[in-house]
Amino acid sequence: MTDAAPVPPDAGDIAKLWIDTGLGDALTTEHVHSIPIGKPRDFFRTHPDPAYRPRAEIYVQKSENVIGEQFFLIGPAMRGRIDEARPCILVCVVDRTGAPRLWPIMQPRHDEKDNAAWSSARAVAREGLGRWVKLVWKGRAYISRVADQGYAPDPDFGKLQSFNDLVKIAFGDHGIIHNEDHPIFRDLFGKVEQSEGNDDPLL
Amino acid sequence: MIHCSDWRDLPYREIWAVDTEYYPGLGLANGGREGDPITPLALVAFELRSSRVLRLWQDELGPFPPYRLDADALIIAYMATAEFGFHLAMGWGQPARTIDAYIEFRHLTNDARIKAGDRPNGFYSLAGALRHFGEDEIDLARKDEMRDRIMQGPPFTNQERADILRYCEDDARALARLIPRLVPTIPSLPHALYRGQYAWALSHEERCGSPIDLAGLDRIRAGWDAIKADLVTTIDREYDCYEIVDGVPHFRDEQFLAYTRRQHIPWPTYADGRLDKRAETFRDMSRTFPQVANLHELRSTLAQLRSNKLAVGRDGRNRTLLGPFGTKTGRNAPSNSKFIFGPAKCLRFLIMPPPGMALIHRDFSQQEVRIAAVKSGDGALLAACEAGDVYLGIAQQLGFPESRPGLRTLFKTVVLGIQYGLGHRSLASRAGISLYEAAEILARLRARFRTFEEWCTNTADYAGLRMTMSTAFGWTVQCPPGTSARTIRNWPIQSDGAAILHAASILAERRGIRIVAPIHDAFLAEGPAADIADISVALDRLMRDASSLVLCGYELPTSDDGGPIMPNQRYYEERGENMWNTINRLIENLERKTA
Repeated sequence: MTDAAPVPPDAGDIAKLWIDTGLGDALTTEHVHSIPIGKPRDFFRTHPDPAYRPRAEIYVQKSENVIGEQFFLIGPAMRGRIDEARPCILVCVVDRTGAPRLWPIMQPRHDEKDNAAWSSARAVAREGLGRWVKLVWKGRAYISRVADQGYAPDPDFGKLQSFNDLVKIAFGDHGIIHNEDHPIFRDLFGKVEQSEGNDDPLL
Repeated sequence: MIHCSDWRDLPYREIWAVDTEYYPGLGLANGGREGDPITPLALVAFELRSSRVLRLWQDELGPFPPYRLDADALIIAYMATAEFGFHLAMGWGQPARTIDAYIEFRHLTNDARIKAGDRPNGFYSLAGALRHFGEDEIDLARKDEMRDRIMQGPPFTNQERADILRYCEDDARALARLIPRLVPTIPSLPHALYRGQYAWALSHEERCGSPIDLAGLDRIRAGWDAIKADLVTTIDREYDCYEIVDGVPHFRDEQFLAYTRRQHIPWPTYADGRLDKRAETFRDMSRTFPQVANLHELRSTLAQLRSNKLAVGRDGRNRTLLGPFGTKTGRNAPSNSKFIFGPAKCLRFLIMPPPGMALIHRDFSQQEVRIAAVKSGDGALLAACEAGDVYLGIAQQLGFPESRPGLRTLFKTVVLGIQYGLGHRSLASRAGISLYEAAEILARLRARFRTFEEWCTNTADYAGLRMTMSTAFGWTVQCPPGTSARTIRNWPIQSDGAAILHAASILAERRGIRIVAPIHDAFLAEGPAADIADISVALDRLMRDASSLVLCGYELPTSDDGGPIMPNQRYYEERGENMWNTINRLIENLERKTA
């Protein structure tokens, strides 16, 4: 919108009648209640703020009885305690509708070699900082596919919640393994279900 | 905002309920025709505070109105453009304060779910308004009888004179009964007075009327019955949708369905499978499938000439009530059959300036999409508008190559569609593209113009929570549960377009620009041929000023497509050219045969 132009002298009485209707004002706030975790399937852009791609440790549960994968973040006190968990970079990406997604890109442990899948995924995520890209698996690594110029404009990252809030929503109350009481930890190590006030005489 | 919960609190010394009677020209019985300038016959005014009544017959009317016109007096009329037409015919001035009770009643009952045409007959009449408030109604049978008699014109017997004055007084008193009910419902008095000012400006436009080639019109009317069947046969050759029975053309649905199938046109249908043959559907489909345009024009022309109601006076002026605030958005709603800018485009070729005069047609360029961009503050959408051709500008922003055939037509459908939330299925159907491509275009649009989309969401939230929407000049619409999401999305844009036309009409009247017709987002103005270039510039200025008033300083650009219409030239309308030429050719053949 341009700056308000001077009102012509014969229209001053009309101009005085102008009222702000508030039609476009935001009367509601949008709350995101679920954020997917995993690699993006569609074109995406990577959040440019380094705070939105911290290093983390993650365990990917591929249960026999559940379709798909479940991701569990390892809390600081539990890092290094679960062999199946891997170090990763937890990258925040968005699609063209502005919907966020957390993408754990695996990294080698200190005694491991990097592999092509991980390093190529990181390269595509890096490319996503500047343009709309899509992950394409080719041979033994990922390559990027760049979207047409008109696919979407640069995302408005300013509207996203803080990274901590995104993590809380994405992983939920039980998605972070803080201690040995976590059901996944107990499941992994074959520990017995603990429950306070259990009066089962066999236990 | 000033609101009065009781009419007695209105800040005026005198409050006059006014009703007038008039007939066209010399009266229909004396060779006058509908469309002639009106001849004042009678006036009755009822002052609400003192119960004083003024009853004046034709010969008692003087050079000054019988009531005060200053800011201490409020004039209330029902459809005030009629009473103002009476003022203008008498050479009386503009009342400083006017409320048009008709407009305020429309405002009160402006419901986004209900089309004006779906209301019961007479809902918006004075009797309908009284009925709405549970007041005793007026005698409608007598009203029709009296109106018919008045239209016939003089001579009037003494008894008729007494009856007409009594009838006029009944209306004035009925209006006086309505006022105490209506005033408390007016949310803002200054805005109601502003609408009254618009009625004054519009009455000037009604009085001017568009200049028409009367001889040409009479020629078409005289030959119409003889050429109708030939016209249909000629135009229908490529469609084969009509059957001529006893010289009368009948549109056959099954033949039209076969045509759409032959042409692979996915024509919209109702849920029960019937073809949607509404004029607006034909108009929309003609944009995407230009081959349908001639059929659409044929149907419009047949409808308009069948009714033969085009109101053209003996002086060759098309004059009709322009229906201020006749739609939900506040746009005018003139009679389709009486107004030269009705659906039949070919009849516009009849518009010709009188000797020594010229016309200028100036419209807002891409008014609606620019309003959408400015209101929502979407810089990307505004940039696309400013790029020149908004349709190609948006296509370019979405990455579609300019070389693609039919790109502009496709994006015209897209851009018009985003204003009311066109879905991907409808877009695919209207544009003849795949569902996938339609969905992709809309996804790109939503991503590219996300500020506009967000604004639309906020507007929908507002309408849903407050159950009302308003323009910056106080015209509101109720949005009860059940209101269509499309209406809510489109209303703010259309109603601002209407508000711009209102302000422009008022400015035109103040600046002495002679507007002869308001046309949706355009004006037709008239002036001496030698001055028409200056008038065109002045018209552009006032239209920009009006848009600036509504859009907080943003001036909508205007254009005068073909330049002025000089003496002996005709108004040109591309969409009606083929039909106009065909009609003329058939009339010439007919005249040659009869000669």
